[in-house]
Amino acid sequence: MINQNDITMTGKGLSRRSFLKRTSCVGGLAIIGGSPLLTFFTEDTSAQPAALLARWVASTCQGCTSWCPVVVKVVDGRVVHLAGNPESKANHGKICPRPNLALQQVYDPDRLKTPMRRTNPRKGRDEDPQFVPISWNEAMGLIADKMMELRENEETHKFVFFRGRYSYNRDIIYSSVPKIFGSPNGISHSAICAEAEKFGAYYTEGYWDYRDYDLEHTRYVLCWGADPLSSNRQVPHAINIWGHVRDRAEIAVIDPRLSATAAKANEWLPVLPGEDGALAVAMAHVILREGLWSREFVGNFADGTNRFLPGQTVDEQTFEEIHTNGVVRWWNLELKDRTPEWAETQCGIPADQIHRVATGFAKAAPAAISWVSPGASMQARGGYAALAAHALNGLVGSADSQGGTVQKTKVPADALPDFSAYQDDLAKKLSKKPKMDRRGSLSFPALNAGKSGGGVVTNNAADSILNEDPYEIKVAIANWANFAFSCSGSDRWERALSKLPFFVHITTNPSETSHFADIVLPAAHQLFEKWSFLKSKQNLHGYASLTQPMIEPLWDVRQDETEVPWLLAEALAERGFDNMLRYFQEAFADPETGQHPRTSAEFALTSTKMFTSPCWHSAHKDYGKYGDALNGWDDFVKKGVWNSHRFETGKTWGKFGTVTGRFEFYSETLKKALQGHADKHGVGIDDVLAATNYTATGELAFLPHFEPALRWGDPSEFPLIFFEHRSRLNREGRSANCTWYQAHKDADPGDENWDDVLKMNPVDAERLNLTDRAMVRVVSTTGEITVRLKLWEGVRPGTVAKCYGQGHWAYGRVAATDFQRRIPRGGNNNVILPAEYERLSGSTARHGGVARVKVIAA
Amino acid sequence: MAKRYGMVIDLHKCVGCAGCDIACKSENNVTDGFAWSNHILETHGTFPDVQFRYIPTLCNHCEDAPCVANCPTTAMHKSEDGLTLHDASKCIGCRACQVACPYGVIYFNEKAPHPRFMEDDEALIPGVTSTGQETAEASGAPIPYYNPARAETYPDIRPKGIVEKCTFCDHRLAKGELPACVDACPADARLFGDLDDPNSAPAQALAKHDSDVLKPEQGTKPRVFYIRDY
Amino acid sequence: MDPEIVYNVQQGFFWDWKVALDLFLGGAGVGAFLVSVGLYEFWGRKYKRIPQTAAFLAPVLVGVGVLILMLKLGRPFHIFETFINFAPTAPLWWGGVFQTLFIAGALWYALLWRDLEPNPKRRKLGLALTPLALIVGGYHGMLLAVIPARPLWNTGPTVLAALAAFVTTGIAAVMLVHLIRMKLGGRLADPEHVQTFLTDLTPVRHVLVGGLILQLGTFFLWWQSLRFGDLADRTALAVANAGFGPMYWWLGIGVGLVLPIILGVAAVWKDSPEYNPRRLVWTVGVASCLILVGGFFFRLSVVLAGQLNPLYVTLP
Repeated sequence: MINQNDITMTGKGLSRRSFLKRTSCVGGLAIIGGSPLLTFFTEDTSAQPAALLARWVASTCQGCTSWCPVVVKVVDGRVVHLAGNPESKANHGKICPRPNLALQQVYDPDRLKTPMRRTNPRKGRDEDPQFVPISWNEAMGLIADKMMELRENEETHKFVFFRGRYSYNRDIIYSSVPKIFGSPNGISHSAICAEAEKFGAYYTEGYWDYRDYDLEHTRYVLCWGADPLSSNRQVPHAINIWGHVRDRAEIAVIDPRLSATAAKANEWLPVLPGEDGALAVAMAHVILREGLWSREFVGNFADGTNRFLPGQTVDEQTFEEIHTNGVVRWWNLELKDRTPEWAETQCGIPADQIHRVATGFAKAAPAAISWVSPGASMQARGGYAALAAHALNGLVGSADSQGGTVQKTKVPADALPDFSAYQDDLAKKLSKKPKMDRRGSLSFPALNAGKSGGGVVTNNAADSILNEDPYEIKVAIANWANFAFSCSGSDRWERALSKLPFFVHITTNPSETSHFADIVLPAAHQLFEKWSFLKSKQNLHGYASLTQPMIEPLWDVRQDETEVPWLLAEALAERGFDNMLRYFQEAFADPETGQHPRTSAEFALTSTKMFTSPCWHSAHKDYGKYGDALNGWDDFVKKGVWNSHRFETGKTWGKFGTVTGRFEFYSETLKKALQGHADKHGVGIDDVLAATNYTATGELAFLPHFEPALRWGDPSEFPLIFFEHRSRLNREGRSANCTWYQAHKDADPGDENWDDVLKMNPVDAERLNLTDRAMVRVVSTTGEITVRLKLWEGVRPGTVAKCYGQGHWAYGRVAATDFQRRIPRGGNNNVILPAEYERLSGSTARHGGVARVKVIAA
Repeated sequence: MAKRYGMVIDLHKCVGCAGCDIACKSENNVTDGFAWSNHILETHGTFPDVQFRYIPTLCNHCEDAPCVANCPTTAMHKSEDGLTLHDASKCIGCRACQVACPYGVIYFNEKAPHPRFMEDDEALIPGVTSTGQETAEASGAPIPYYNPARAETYPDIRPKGIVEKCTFCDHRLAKGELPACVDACPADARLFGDLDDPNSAPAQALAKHDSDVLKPEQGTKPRVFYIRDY
Repeated sequence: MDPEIVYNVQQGFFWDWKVALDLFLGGAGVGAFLVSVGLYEFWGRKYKRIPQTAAFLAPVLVGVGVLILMLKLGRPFHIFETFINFAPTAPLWWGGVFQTLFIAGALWYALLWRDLEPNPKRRKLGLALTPLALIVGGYHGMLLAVIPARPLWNTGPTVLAALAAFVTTGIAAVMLVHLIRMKLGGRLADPEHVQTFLTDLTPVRHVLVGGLILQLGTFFLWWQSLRFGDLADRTALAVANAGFGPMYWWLGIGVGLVLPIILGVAAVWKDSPEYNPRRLVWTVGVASCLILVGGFFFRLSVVLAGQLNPLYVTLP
C-alpha cells in the first residue's frame, strides 16, 4: 500500500556521527579521489535506512512572492529536498518547481564565503573590483567609520538603505536603522515589483493590496497578463486547482505570448502589448450594452429598460445604483463609444472574441474573476488599464463574491517597537528630509493608498544619485537587491552605483550590483539559514510562515535583516554612537521570558518571536482571534505556519474602503488623491495628468478609461514591439546560476534549455529575413543585447518576447557565459527597456511594450 | 503478492511546470544533462490558433521492455513488481539498452558525473567564493544536496561507464513512499500504484478514462499511461 | 507552420564506428572460416594453402573485432558479466558467448592447419564449428534487425544483407590476405603457383560474384521495404539518406558492390584463367580491397544512420 502523504516530522533525527559511520566510505573517499566512489562497491546491508536519519523542517520559500510554506528534508546537516508544508491551508502541501532550485542556491559554489573589500578604487563595469577577503569585524568597522563621518558632518540624510526582497523582519534594517541614524532614506524595491496592480483595486474598492481569488467556486477566469500557473502570487495553489477550474469554468488569457496559463485556457487573446485598457473598456461596453451587469451589486434602471445603447448618453437619474458609484457617468464619458469593433483596431483582438469573452465572463458572474497582473498594469499608462480591468469585477458583482475576487484575511503580527526615544536631535531633524527618490514631486505622485508621495519610486533613485537631486548620496547599503540588473535602464544604475563614494552590498552571490560595491557582505540564505517570517495568502487563507536556520552554514554568512544591523549597531557603538545598539538591546525582548538579546544571533530569534507572537503566544491579545491558536513557540517552529480563518465573502459590500464606501467606477477616491497632489504643487489635475504621461483631461481622470500605449522608439526605425515575461523557474532573477534552472528552461513555453531566446513569430522572421536559432542583436533606443532567435507561433506578429531573468554578467559561472570577461548568458531585458514609469503609482513601466526594437542578424 | 506497478499521467491536470523533473534530479542525485524525468514539448497550429502541449515522460517500465530483451548481461531486468530495473554492478556499458529503447529514457555516463562539484577546483573570486570541490567537501557529501537514500537500491551516484534510468523510485516504494515525481507534482497529475489492485488510483483512473501510451506500435506495453488532454 | 516537437534526450551516437568495425571484422572472420571449411571440404582441392590462410584469418578477424568492441564498452573489464549471466533474448549476449566460443574453436582449428597434411580431426572440427560460425554470422545480422526502435535496422532484409556481407567480405579478406601471403612468400612471381591459386579460387570466385549480386538484391529489398513502409520507416530512410546517403551509396554500394561486380563479371566473362593470369591476380586483389572498403562503410553508414531517426515520440 502506498502512502499518499509521506511527509513526517521525525524530530531532531540521529546524530551526525552515526550517519558518518554509515557513509564515510561514500563521502570521504569520493572527495579525496575527485571521482565518485560508489556504494555498490561497498554495500553495507546493515546500514539503517536513510529516511530514519532525515528530518523535515518547516520554512518558507521566497522564490517568488507567493511565499509558500514549505518543509525541507535535512539529512546529516545538509538540506536535500523540499516539499509543500502540509500544515498550510494556503498551498496545502504543494510546491511549484522553484523551492527545489533553492538547494542549488544555498550550495552554489559561487556563493560568497566571507565579506570582501574592493581594492580597485575605480568603479565601472569594465573595472575589475579586485575584491579581497576581509573579516566581518573589519567590514563593519569600515562601514561604521563612513557612517560616523556623516554624523560628524551632520549630513546623515546622505545615507540610504536600499531594500530589495525582504521578510517581515524588514523594518529593523529598513526603518529603524536609517531613522535612528538620521536618514529618511529607506528605499524599497516595491515600485519595480507590482504597485500599479494595486492601483486598480485601490481606486475602485479602496484596497491597496493584492487580491485573492476564489478559484474553487469560480466559473470564469479572465487573466489580464496573469500567468498564475507560472508566477505570482499563488502558484502551487493555482497549479493544483487548475484541473478543477478547467472542469467547471471557462478560462480566457490576455497575453501577447502563449503563456503557460494561456496554453491551458479556453481562449487566448494575444493583445497588442500596452493596449489592455482598450480591451477592458470594450468588455465593459459589451457588458452594459448586453444588459449583463450585476443587478444585485450595481443596480438597475428604475424602469428596467436597458438604456446603454452604443453612442448614446444616459440620464443618470434613470439608474438606481446600489453598491457602486458612477456607472452611468462611466458609460457617458468613456464607454458608450468603446465598441468591440473600435477596440479591435486598437488592441488587435477580433471584435467577436471580445464580445464572446465579455459576455461569457458576465454570464458566469458573480462567480467570475477579472485577474489583474503586473503585465496589464506595470505599463507607462497602466494605472487606468488596471482600473478598467479591475472595474469589470464591480460591473458583474464578482468583487468580494463567492467564485470572484476577494480581499485578504487578517494575519496578526506585532509592529517594530517604537524607536523614537532612540533618535537624537540630529536623527530627528535629518530623517524628516525629503526622501531621495523624489516621490511626491509633480511628475512622480506615487499615490500609495491615496497619499501623494506615499509610495516609492525605486527606479528614480539612480537618477537622484547621478543628479544629486534632491541631494548627494554619500553612503549606501543595499540588501537582497540587484538594481544594476533588475531595474530597467540598468546602465543608469551602473553609473549611479559607480558614482557612490561608499557602497555596501549584502548578498548571497557576487552580482552585478556587487561589482560596484566597496564592501560586500555575505548573506544567509533565506530558506535554510535565517530566522524570519512572511505574511501572504492563497486559497482564501492568509498565513504567517516562518523561515528558520536548519543547517550550519558552510561559510561565514550572517542573517541580513537582523544580524547585520546588530553588528552595524555594535560597530557604531564602538565609535561612540550607541543609540541603535541600545534600541536593539532594550526595546526587543523575548515575549515569553522577557530576556533581551545579547548577541546578533539572539537578536534574530528574539525579533522573530516578537513579531509573530500573536500567532503562538497565548498571552497576546490577538492570540487565536484570527485563525490558528498555536501551542507556543515550539509548536510554531514545528508546524512552521499559522493559518487564518477562511475568508468569508460578501462582507465588504456597502462598506468598501473608498471615499464613498462603494465600489467606485467614478473614483472619488482617486479624485481626492489627485486633488491632494495637485494642490500640493499648486496646479490643476489636468496638469498632473500631463506631467505623468497621461493624455486624458477633465472628468476622465477619475474614470477607468482608454489611454493609448506609450512606447519608446520610432516605428519606422524600430518596427517591433518588445515585451518581457516571467519564468516559472525564476527565483526573482536569482536562479540563473542553478544548473537545474538552465536544464529545465524549456518549461517556459517557447523557451530553450541553457539559453535565453528572443521569441519571434515566423511571419516576422520571414519579412526580416532572419533564420531560426540565429544570433541576433536586439536594439532599442536605450541599449542593445545579443541573443539567440527562436521562431515560435506562440507570439503575436509584430511583437517579440523574451523572458526576464537571464543576461547575468556577474552572478556566477552558470549564469554568465564567461564571468571573467563579463559576457552574459543571453541578455538582460533591462538593458533595452527604458526607465519609464507609471507615475501615479511610481511603478516601473517594464510592461506594455514600452520599448520598440529592431532585430538584426548578429 | 507481487504487484504490477504503473503510473497514470493526467494531462488535463498537468500544467507543464517541470516540478517532476527537478524533484527527480534531487531525489536520485541525477547529474546535469540527464533527465530521468523528462518531457516532450509540442506547438501546433498557426497564430492565433496555437496549441501548446507538454507531455511528461519517464521510463515506461514496459512489460515487454526492449532494453531488457537486448541487455547482454541481464543488468536491465524486470523486478517481481514489474519495475524495469538496472543492476548497475552487471552493467558493462554496451549501450544496447539505449539503442533499443524507443523512448530515449536511458542515459549513459560518458563522463564522470557531477563535474560541478567533483571536478571544479577554481574559485570565481579567489579567497571569497568557493569551488565546487570545496563546497562538496564542506558539506560532507559528494554533492552537497546528495540524497543518501538513493543508495539503498541503486548506486547513489552512477559512475562513468554505465547507463542509468528511472527506477520508479524503487527505494521509496520499498518504504511505502511514492515516487518522488508523484509526490512533487503540484497538480496531482500523477497517479501511481498497483494496476492489479482495482482500488488503486491508477487502476481507477484507467477504468474511468480512455488512455494512451507512447508509441504503442512498438509493442512494448508501457506501464505509464496518459489520460485526457493537456 | 509545421508542428514543432521538442524532446531533449541524450545526444550523439550510442553505437559508433567501433560497433561497425566489429560487425565488419566479425562478419569477415566468419566468412573466412566458411571459405576455409567450404573450399577444403566441399570442393576438395588439393591445393590447401587458401583454406590454410582462411583458417588462420578467421579467429584473428573475429578476435580483433571483439577487442575493438570491448574498447567501446563503458566498462570493458566487466565483460565477464556476459558469460556468467543468461540473456538469450539479447543478440549481444549471443554475440559475446558464441563469438568467444567461436574464436576459441577457430583458433584450435587454425592450429590444426599448421601443416597441410590431411587431418581427420581438423575435418571433424571444421564441420562441427560450421553451425557455430553460422550462429555468429547470424548474430551480426540480428543485432540490428531485432530493434523495433530503429526502423532502418528493423527489417528482414537487414539480416539477409548482413549474411550476404559476411560471405563477400570473408572471401575478399581471404583472397587479399592470401595474395599478400603469396607476395611475401615470393610465390606470386611463380606462374605455376599463380595458376594453381586462380584455379583453386574459381568456385570461390563464383560464390563471390553470386554473393555480391545477392547482396545488391538484399539492399534493394531493404530499400523498398523502408521506402514503402509506414511513416516511421519512410522517415528513417529519409533521415538516413540525408545523413549518410553519400557514404552508403558511393562507398557501400558503388565501391563495395558495383565495381567488384563489374570486375568480377568481366573476369568470369572471359572465364579463362590462363588468358592473362597477372591481370586476373590484380583484378582479384583490387576487387578484394574494394569489397572490404565498401563492406566497412556499408556497416558504418547503417550503424550510424540507424540512430539518426529522431525520437518522434508523441501521443495521438
